Amino acid sequence: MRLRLLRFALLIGAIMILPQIDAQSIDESVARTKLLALEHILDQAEASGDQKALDDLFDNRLIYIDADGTALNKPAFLSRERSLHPQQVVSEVTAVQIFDDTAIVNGTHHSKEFRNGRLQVRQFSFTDTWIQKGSTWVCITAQITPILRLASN
Amino acid sequence: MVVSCRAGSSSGPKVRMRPFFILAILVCGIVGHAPAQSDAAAATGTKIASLERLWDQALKARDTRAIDSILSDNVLLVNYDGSVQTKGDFLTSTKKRFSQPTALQPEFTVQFIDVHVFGTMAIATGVYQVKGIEQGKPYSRRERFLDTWKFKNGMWLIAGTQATPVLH
Repeated sequence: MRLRLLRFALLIGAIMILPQIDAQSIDESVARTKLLALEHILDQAEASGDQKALDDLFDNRLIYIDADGTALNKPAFLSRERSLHPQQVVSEVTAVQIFDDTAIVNGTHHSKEFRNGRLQVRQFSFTDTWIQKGSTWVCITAQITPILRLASN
Repeated sequence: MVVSCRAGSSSGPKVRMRPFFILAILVCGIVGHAPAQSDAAAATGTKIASLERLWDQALKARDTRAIDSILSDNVLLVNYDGSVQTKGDFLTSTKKRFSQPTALQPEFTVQFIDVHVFGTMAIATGVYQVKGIEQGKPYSRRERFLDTWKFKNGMWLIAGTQATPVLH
């Protein structure tokens, strides 16, 4: 009798908990897909110099650490972007961690641009931190570090 | 909310703390309640700044347990050369480095830290100087770091960290 009661209690418990686990994993999956799409949009905005898109993607409290170790706020970052003319920007996301309303995206960032008439290819490791605002996500910190072993021009 | 501090204590002579003492302070520091109101942000900022200093102390004291306790299990650490380590990789390489003679240990000096609090997430950013000897040659460089702290299960843990050499 006790064993039956225990089984019944376990069954009820499982019925109550499983939908919550499923809902959480679906939410995370949706968030992951959104974040991957946003990283792609970010690449395109940087490559095309789309200031409006960059303004929308980055939070006003942005902290950006550039490849030379300079810390930039949002206006300084947007100004920097206006002066750059990359031919191509491609990011490969290697990890997305989601903690409720915060997400950390890691990956490798490749850029191609002409400097002094030469095509320069640069590769960086990046970490972007995104926060959820309503139904969307905005990037609040971004940092890039040149990958020394792959540096080439 | 921004909390700034200059790490004067870190730039002086090396202070050796006993590992269990560091761990005890660390546990006291990270266990608590997530601030629900904005007026608690200043307290959180101060707490994160002290946890950053304790991490610095843990490195100086070669205390891998203390380091282990502040890193989230899934954290990825991006080093100054762009290489990426998991928590396991980082702890293994750190233990290996700690086992080397004192003369070969790099010396970290935190120059300043700013902390920005966003509810249950906090960003600590600053600059530290690293001095050491590599392949028989002395080196010195400055690195700008950005640590993302997340309040989870009653503790503040580092969920992401990256360093970039300061070239100017």
